[in-house]
Amino acid sequence: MLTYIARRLAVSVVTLLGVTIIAFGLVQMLPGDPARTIAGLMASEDEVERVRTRMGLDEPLGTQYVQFLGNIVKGDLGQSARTRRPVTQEIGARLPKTIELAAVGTIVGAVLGIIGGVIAARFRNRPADHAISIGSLIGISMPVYWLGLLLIMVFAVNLGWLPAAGAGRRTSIILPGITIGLFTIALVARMTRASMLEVLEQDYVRTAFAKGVANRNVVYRHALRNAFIPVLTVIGIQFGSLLGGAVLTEFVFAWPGIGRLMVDSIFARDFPVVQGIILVFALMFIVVNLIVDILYSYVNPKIQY
Amino acid sequence: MSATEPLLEVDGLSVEFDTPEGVVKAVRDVSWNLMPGETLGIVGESGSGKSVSVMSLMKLIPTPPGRIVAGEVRFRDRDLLKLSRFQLRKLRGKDLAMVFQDPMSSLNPVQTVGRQIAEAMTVHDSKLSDNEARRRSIELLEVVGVPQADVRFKQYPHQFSGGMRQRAMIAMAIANRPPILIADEPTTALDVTIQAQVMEVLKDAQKKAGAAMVLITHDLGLIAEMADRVIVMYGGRVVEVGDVRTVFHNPQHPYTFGLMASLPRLDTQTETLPTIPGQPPSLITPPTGCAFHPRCRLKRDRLDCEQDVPPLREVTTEHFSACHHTDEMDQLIEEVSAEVGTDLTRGES
Amino acid sequence: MDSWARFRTHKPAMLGAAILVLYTLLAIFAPWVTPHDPVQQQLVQSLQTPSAEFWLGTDHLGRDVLTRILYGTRISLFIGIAAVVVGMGIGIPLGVVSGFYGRATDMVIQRIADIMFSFPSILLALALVAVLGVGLNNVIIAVGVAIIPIFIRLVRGQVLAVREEAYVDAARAIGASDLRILVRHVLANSWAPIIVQATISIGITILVAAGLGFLGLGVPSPTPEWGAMLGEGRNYIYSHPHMSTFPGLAIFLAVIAFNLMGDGLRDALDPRLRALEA
Ligand SMILES: Nc1ncnc2c1ncn2[C@@H]1O[C@H](COP(=O)(O)OP(=O)(O)O)[C@@H](O)[C@H]1O
Ligand SMILES: [Mg+2]
Repeated sequence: MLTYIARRLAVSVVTLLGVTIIAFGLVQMLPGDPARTIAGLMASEDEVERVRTRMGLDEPLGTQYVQFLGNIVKGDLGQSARTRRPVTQEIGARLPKTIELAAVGTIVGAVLGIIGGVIAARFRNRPADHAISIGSLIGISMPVYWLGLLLIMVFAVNLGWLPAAGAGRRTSIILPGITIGLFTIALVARMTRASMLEVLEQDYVRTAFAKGVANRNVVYRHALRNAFIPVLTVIGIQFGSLLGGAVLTEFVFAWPGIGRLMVDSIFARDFPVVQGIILVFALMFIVVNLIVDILYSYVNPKIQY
Repeated sequence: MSATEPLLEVDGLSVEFDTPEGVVKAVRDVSWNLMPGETLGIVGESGSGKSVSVMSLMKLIPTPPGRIVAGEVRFRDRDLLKLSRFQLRKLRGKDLAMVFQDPMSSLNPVQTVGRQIAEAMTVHDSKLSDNEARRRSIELLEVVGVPQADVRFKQYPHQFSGGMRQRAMIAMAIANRPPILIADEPTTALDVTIQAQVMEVLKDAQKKAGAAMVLITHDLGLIAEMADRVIVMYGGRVVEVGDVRTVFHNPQHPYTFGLMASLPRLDTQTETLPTIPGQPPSLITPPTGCAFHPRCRLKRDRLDCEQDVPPLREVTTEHFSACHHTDEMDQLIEEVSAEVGTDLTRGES
Repeated sequence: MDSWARFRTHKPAMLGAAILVLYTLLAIFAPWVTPHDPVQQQLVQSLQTPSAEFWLGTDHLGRDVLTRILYGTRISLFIGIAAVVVGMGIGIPLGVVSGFYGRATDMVIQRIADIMFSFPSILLALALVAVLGVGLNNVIIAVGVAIIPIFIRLVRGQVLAVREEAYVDAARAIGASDLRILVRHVLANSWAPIIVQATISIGITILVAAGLGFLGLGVPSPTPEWGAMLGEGRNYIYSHPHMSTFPGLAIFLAVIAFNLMGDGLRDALDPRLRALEA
């Protein structure tokens, strides 16, 4: 078990190193003077020079990367070109909001998605299954930004029940939560249905029936846990994706998370922040995946370490 | 045996499957009886409808695509095919228990073996305490020869070898001392070296439970060793039924003879074994008349084979064959013997 | 029943195909279908609600929304398809090499795929556009690169499965070159899942590309692109919701059509494949 975790951890570290290379390379790829890019459009010549020497931008690329890596390890992601505040501070201030939204989306999506998928599988090819299948198709095909706008039109503009934007009120999370949750519900429901149907065809399900176990118990006691194993992975990956993929939803609802910060920073050409956000997203995704993999090995007794 | 009442009577069973290629007529008008305490063997090549016919007894075939289109299964004055889902459930595992072919996939991978054995009892006895179920499960594991049963009880299927898993399946099947045990190719998926051991365990378990057994296999040797009577299936139909010795020594259907002739024999050295020419029949558009006629040497261009479905007729006492020309069997056996240069008649030896 | 017969009788897939045929026809014949110009501003008639002349109303610059959606079909479908071509063009060779040669090559390519998988597609595309800048080609590249890892994984898995087959050994035994084996045997036996994945991926690339457009990081105006139209409409959501409702519907229908087609192709080409991947 421990060696499994260690091996898994090693892979994660390698992946993370790769991500730092990408984040580093991204700024190198920018046209023009990197010092000017990092200092920001509004910076004075003096400031640009200071950035150049502080970040060692006149040194060879290898040296620069090592220094970049060293700074990351020290928790220094540089300074925002816009606000002059440390990038870690900018990100840190908004991260909880992003996690909140992703968590709401994942929990809503997982619970409703699993219920929907199980119902669809139990009543395969019956009206309930068809309805859920159509619903899931709509859910995975719906552009989140359009869904967000539609929800705003109906619930904020026309009915006036819920706030259209921001995170100021207790009810603010409802519309972005639904927006982000719908896709997850659809995804998880599809996955659960497919997984359940596959499990229900297995020989051990037939064994359970042959023993005289009731239909309902076969579904819940024998099939669900087996079917849940692949679903768990999807849910985990989905949570990881929502942490970074909520960019569009955050933008539509002016939700003060890091997705929104990323878009704003791109427009402001605030590259230290963009770079920092990429690193943080990747780190979160990798950590979530690591946790899912370890959980997975607990759920599935077949995995041997 | 004829004096006692049959324990189970299958009458006119027909089962179909809807597939994209067409309707598969997997089982057609199959009838047989199971006597108390006896072992009834079912043989036939793969796809001849053996599994489907026994699985239908407890309605264990997936519907859809499967459909039981006709037939009755009488057990204790009831037609099992007419029972409600609830009544059927009460019966499964308690009156009729099954051992399936593939022990690797027939156990739930995320539940301990012990729990799965215990469940076979608790679903039929809600008053059974966990402790008692546990004690009895360990006992059952011991009965089927699983060493260190108390440790094994807590393990998962993947920690069991194939042979041990099949023993666990047998333990599960006899947990409620069912009067009828159905074993569908119980050793086919196992290593040759442990097949005999597992068979021994099964026989022993049957004896202890005092059960009648339906044993499906394509191993004729196993039938000879284990069964009292044998049913031969071809293309979804029963083509021959009778006492094992009688059928083996005096096959009354060309297909049965073909099956036996293609077995390697210990008593004589033969270079070439006569095989049955041709392919197994399509079950979607089965041959008209006798399903075996396209491959049959006895047909000799006769139209009755092509046109009329031969009914099961009693040839000798308690020995039935579905062939229009059983009177020519002796001649056929002589002919084939001459061709391969071995005497294929099996005298009373 | 052969694949084509299965596909034809797959009602949802036929619905998807019908939508796509309609889109294609409208895209080709847009100039004959609508009398309006997609780009020309007509400020006097701006922000009109749907009427007999402007079926879906006009936008803030007085352009007919329906006309822009029709012309936008050309842009949006082209971006979606072109991005998948880019993703496949890079992902398939990498997947083949990774699966066929194994060892260190495989390790390196798999880590690269891992790294790319650590970002949701929209984020990867966004980061690339941030660097490359906006514009049609850059959007195609950014979105295409974002889906590369999907094809690496898929093709690698296929190659690993096919590599073990006897006919590959047989081909090697008669002295076939690696390239020949790859093309003739490995890829020839992997095309079914690749086509299915490609179809579903077009749905994804349309969504992501329109997302970039929505953020104002796609194809610059005045090019009629569905996502950008939606983004412009967002500013008028209180007073003129038609500006964002209809372009969004166009995106939604296109994505649904590709998803329906993908499901149908999966069932038709390989009934054993299931909707397991997202
Ligand atoms: N679930 C199913 N769907 C479609 N056809 C089936 C199914 N189960 C069995 N069959 C068909 O029924 C026929 C008989 O199968 P079976 O009883 O399993 O044969 P066997 O004698 O080898 O046990 C076969 O042709 C098989 O294809
Ligand atoms: Mg069978």
